[in-house]
Amino acid sequence: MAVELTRRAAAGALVGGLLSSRSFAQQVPKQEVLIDFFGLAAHNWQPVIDKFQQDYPTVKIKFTKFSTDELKQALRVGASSGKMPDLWWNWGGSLASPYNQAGLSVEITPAMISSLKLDEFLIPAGIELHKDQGKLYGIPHRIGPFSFFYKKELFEKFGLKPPQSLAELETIADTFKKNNIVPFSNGGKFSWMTMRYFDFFLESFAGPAGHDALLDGKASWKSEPVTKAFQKLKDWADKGYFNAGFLNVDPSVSVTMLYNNSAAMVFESITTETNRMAREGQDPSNFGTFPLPTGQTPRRVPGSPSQIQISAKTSKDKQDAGLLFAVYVAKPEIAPFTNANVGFPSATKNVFPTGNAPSSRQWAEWIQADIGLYRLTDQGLPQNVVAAFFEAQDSMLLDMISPAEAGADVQKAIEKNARR
Amino acid sequence: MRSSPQISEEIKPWLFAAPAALIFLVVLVYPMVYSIYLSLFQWNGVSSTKVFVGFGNYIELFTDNRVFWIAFKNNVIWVLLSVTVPTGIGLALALVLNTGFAGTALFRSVFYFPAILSMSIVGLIWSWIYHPTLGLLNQTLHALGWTWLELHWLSNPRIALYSVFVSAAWHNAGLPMLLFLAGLQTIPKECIEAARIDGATRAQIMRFVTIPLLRETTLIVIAITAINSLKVYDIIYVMTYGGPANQTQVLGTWMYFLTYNQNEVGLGTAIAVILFVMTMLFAVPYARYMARDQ
Amino acid sequence: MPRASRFRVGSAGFYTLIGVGALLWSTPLIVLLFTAVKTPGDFAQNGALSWPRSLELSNFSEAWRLGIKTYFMNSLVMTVVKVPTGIFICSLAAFAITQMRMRGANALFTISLLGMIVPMQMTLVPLTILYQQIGAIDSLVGLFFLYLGFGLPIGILVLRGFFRSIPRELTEAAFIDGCSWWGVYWRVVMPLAKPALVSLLILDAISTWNEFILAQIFLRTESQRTLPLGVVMFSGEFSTQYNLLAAGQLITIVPVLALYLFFQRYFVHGLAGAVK
Repeated sequence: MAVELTRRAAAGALVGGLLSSRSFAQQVPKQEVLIDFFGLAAHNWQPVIDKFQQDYPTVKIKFTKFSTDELKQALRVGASSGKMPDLWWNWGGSLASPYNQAGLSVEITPAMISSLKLDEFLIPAGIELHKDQGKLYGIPHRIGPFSFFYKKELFEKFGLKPPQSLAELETIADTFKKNNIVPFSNGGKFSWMTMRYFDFFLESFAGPAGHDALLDGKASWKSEPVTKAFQKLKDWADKGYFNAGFLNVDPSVSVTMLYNNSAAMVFESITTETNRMAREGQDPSNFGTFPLPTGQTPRRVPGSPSQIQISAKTSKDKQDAGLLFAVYVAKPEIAPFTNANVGFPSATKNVFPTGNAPSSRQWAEWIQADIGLYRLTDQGLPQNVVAAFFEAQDSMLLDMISPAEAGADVQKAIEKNARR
Repeated sequence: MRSSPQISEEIKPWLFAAPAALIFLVVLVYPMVYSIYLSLFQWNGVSSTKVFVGFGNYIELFTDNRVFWIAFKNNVIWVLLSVTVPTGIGLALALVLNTGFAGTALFRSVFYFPAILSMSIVGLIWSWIYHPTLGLLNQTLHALGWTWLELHWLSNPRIALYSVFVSAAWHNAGLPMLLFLAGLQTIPKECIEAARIDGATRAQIMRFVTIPLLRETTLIVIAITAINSLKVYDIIYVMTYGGPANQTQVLGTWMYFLTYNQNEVGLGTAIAVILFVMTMLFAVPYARYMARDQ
Repeated sequence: MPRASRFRVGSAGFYTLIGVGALLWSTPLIVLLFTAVKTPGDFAQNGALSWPRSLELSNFSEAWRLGIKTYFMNSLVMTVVKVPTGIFICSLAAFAITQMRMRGANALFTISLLGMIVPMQMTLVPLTILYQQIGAIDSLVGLFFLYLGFGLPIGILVLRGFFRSIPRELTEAAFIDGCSWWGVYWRVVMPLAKPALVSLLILDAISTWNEFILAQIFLRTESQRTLPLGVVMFSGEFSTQYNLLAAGQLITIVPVLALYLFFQRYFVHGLAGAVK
């Protein structure tokens, strides 16, 4: 008996020692651990999970995939009943904040950051992007920039080049409009795709510092840049820059208008290249991309955090196993595989796409170099203010309120929220 | 059996009803009461503390929530349309199909078919039909040359609710049709026969015999339709998501968005309670009518 | 009168009229059917309503393979277990209310009608909290009890209406012959109620098969999902492959359609109890 125990302990120590050199001294469970993991259907996690389970046979991960709004809802329902999955993928900002502030997600303390060597292998800006009130509550694995994709064939046909300014972009749009091609394919049904255009105008008119101040509630939305941004959005809609009836169009079909040349550009997450175009039989090299011509320095684009969060309410061994997985997928030797499946650009240093993904490669370089990131309005503002923003934006597009009134409505919601 | 004490005879019916009563208590009664309790708190659904605000949520809805009144108005419109249009179609179909011509069963199945589809599928199919450029409706109108009628069916706030209603009516006409057919079967053949012998025309029989005798069925159909249409939710959720700019919200969807998208559990449950009270206005007379003694 | 007689019941004009009406009424389904058997290219080029160039039955097997199979099986098991159980419980309650001189019968019935009134969303948060405490989240078994609960009111309503039309003398005669209450219920009332039971079976099977909101909240992992939920997930994942989507949707329709067609002769007669 005693001998048996010692032998097991020795074997355990040996295995643990071997693994620890690879996994930054993390606990590898000796007995089988089963963890639940929620994520988006658009992200192809299963191959990454399979690879992980081969390396760590004692951990079994049950992955459940959701669409965008369903994941948000599944997490909210889980939180309101006090039960989250053991592990979940999440955006950041106000979409993650309620869980962080309610103590439902494990905080990745500065001590953990250094013992897990996250500060060594992750891009510093990536860690910063994921922080909530200065603290980290998940392991980042991707930085999700958004920008314009365009159909190269259409640009070539009319002798157009990627724009350097907002005015140039409008000239391009006019050209397409005149030739009966929709300049921008917009899926406005849930309001957040239209919002991307507003954010772009706001960044252009308020500048990086002004834009951040508006999102932080430190500057009033009853101000000129906000009104100008709403006005510009209205102008674009009135000039027919968006597809007919876009306010009810599902955002998931917007990229397909580029496939058959009925639209020229789309404002999308860069992962669209690997997660949509390539999987839907399109050759990614038929599409080009350019950073937003904001005319500001630093030049910024919207960026969404992309992190795995760990439940603070689950058992210790599940937390350990969850952390093991969350760190594993971001490690330098695994990240290329992770991002190839889940999407680029990686949050891990020096990880670039291989294969036919020119836009992703381009963006990975831009992000690791000098392009900055700003928060999308729907992650920057609290969720009930976001609802007021969506209503104001769409009401303005429907001529029910003026651009100035739209800004005032958002300001009113911000003040009301602050009083709570 | 009959020798068992009286008390046992009192309990026996409840033994039969026990499974239903028990499930009912847990699945319906307890959550209802708990929801009323929740509607008195401000709670984001996540944090462990709830702030008691009394009727604050109700006051906020009535005085400071513009969309609540849009949803309220839309709900009223929806109920009024629902008790007339699909019910009328159902009645008309039932009267025609009750005449017993050859092929009745086939036509009955055809007209009932949409009713067996799930609302999410109905919403999806009709969204394709209404698509502004690729949809069947606008393409047909275009081919006919009626370009002035090529509207943005689901994104024009003035017509979006009605566009959704058409798809709902397509789905919802089946049940009234069946209920009316069932009601027509309860009309004694002798009444019709007697009227015919008295020389009444088909139209006169319809007007003076059939329709009056359907009064009871009609009341029940209207009550059921009103109750169900007050709770309308899934078709609007699928087709417009309450948009554009919340102009097609109804109470059911607005409750959902407040609770699950804006983390306002208190406001959301308050709407649920309001909706419940509104439904009671139709349901109490109906329930008393149904529970009447023979 | 002569003008009206052109469309007299049974005349050619009448059949034309109702035929055209039926065709228009079916257009959305014809679109669905055509889309489901088209190749993506055919759909993109010729739109939804054109006659399919080829019969692409592989859309169905593809949709089945890509996930519809799991959802279908879950829905099938749920419906097959839930519907008879629910009807059994409803019939017991309706029997007690109508035949047994039950004290509080009207109260129970009125309260059960209340169940038809409660907006389902009103129960979601409390039920999630409750289900969490007893560990019934994300299980078909847990969902089964919710379906039982929400199916009760309509079931009791339909069966009560029918049971009421059974003369008391009949049951009392059986009683005198030495039957127990159970015997009266099982051997006298239930066989008489066959038409009502069949209509309820169809109604309940359809609503169980199509239920979405509860499944959306209470089921999470893929292996547990039922069809309506799965089809929406499927729509999210294959949002642009209309032919696969349509095929998946058609697969979900077939079982309830078959059920309805098979039992429809009982259907109208059985519902009579609900409207009097």
